[in-house]
Amino acid sequence: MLILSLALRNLFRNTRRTVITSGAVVFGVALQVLGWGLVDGLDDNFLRAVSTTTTGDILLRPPDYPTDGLSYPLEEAQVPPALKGFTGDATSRVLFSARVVHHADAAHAIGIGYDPDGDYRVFPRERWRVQGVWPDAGQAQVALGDGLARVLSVGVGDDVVVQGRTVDGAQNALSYAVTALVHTDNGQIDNSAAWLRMDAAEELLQLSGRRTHLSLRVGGLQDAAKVRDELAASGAFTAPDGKVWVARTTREEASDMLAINDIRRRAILMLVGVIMAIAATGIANTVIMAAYERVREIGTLLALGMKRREVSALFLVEGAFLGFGAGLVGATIGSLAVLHWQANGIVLSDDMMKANGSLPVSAVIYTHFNWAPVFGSLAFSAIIATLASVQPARFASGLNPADAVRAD
Amino acid sequence: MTSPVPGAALCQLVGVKKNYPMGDLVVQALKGVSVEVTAGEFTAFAGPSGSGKSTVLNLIGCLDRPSEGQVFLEGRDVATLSDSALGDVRARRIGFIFQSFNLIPVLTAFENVELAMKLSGASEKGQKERVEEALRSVGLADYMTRRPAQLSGGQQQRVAIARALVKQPALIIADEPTANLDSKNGAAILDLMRTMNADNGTTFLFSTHDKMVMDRARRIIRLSDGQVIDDERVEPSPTPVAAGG
Repeated sequence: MLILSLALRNLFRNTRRTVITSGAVVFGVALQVLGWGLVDGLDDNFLRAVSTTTTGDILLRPPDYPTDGLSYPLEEAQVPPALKGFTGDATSRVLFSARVVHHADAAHAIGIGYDPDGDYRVFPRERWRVQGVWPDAGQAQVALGDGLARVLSVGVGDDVVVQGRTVDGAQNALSYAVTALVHTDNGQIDNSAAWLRMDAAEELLQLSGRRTHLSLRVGGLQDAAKVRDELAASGAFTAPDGKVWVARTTREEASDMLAINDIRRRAILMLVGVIMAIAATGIANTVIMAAYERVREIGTLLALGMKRREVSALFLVEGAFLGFGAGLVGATIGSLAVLHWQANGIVLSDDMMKANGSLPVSAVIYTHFNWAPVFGSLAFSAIIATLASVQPARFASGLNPADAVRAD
Repeated sequence: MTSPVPGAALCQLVGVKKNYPMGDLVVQALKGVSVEVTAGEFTAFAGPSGSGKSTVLNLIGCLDRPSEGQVFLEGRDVATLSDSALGDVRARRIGFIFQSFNLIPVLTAFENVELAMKLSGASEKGQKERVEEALRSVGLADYMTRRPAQLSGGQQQRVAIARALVKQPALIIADEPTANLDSKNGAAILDLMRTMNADNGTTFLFSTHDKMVMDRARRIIRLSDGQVIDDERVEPSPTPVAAGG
């Protein structure tokens, strides 16, 4: 208790120096907490973007269908499994490579043939911004992602031609009236999707009941893997032709993007590590200066009977307090920033969304507050500062009291 | 804590030598000093700078070890003790008063005195009262919450005296206690220590070349070039009158 009390008071002996020394730690810890919150928020953003527009909680594909999300081979389309025993919401889709032509302009697109009833149950369409109305049954109508429409200079009421290959590989093209411009939570979809009701898609692609995707909503991403495994074990994913469709959870679907975020986390850790190394140098310098300035005081403490290990502990605790205190300030600043953007979100500009047009990201990134980086960075800063104080502590505890009490 | 018996040997230096390496050279600070101090003495070690008086007090105060010879404190050869055991002896049996006061600047007068109590391992019970009493006894009852920077030199030295006295040590070592004080404050501090010596029987050992200190000492041990050249006992002077700090 005596050591703690003395160490705390010594910290405020030269407040300006303490504050300056703390700066790097404050910055490093704030950066770690904020950076972690941002990358966790990006994780959530990716998962939200694909979950609310493409995968649901679990996405099924025919057995030989590629899972890279880059190609849409319609020849792999199959009649989907009936999901025997599954009581949640499900919807089937057909994704295909399309080309949308408007006058002299044309753009490649992802064609999405959808079942309106199922889509409404699985995807939060009520949250999407729709200018116009979704296509009606039996009509040659199409909805376009608002980004794609912007590229083609298409508005509601315009006519476009949608080209695609049928399941047998024949080219087909039909004219559709654009009834809606759709803005979802997924920039990739908004920049490339042409939405056709399933009956219109059947006509264009000659599907005969075949589908390329089944999206299941099972009540949350957390339980998705467990539910998927149970359903797989029960044979729910076996199609009428006897082939078992491949089921992947949303987290598995987004694994590439999540892996990129792990690299970002490592990069933040490295950057914070460098900042902390610089901070440690500053702390070591501050504590060694304090030790040199207080030689007579250390001698007095030794003369009064303080043990060498207690003198050593005094300087280590001073370093630890400095690191922990600075870490606390940094963690508070970082946490407040994370909590602010967790509540309000960071809105990506249209230009940024265009630049990220090929990525499944939402236009709003909500940071994600997490205690782990807060506690981790606090412990890290305290440990770094304590380690930086080892040499000054050894110097102080090794002083000869007879000389030290008379030092200038 | 045992109190030394007045007149009994409190500390003894037997053939003590102290060498300091200075680069390739070895400086002999003490060249075989033998001295005995009995409990209740008010003794000054006098001599010019470099004569070895501070070295003698360092050895008696367990701040240092001799290169040769023996240093006995209350019958124990302290030269053979470990660093930690020496620390215990300093904490419990020896009080220090330094030329530059050596108060801890971040602590108040009360806390400076309390620090010595805590380090001595004294019981928590009654600690506050003892600290207050020590400060009252040196005339600082109204200055307990002040930090050293808010006290005059004389007041700071009084805090140092209270700090040395509070744990009721067998011995108080005062290293040039008046060197940084004006004559009025110096005299007051010395008279205060004389009173403590007379009232409580606390043994005081000084290093000094201040005539004012030597005038009040009851024994003067003169050193020169690391050797005792004179050991003079003087008659007690009349009871001093404390002056303000």
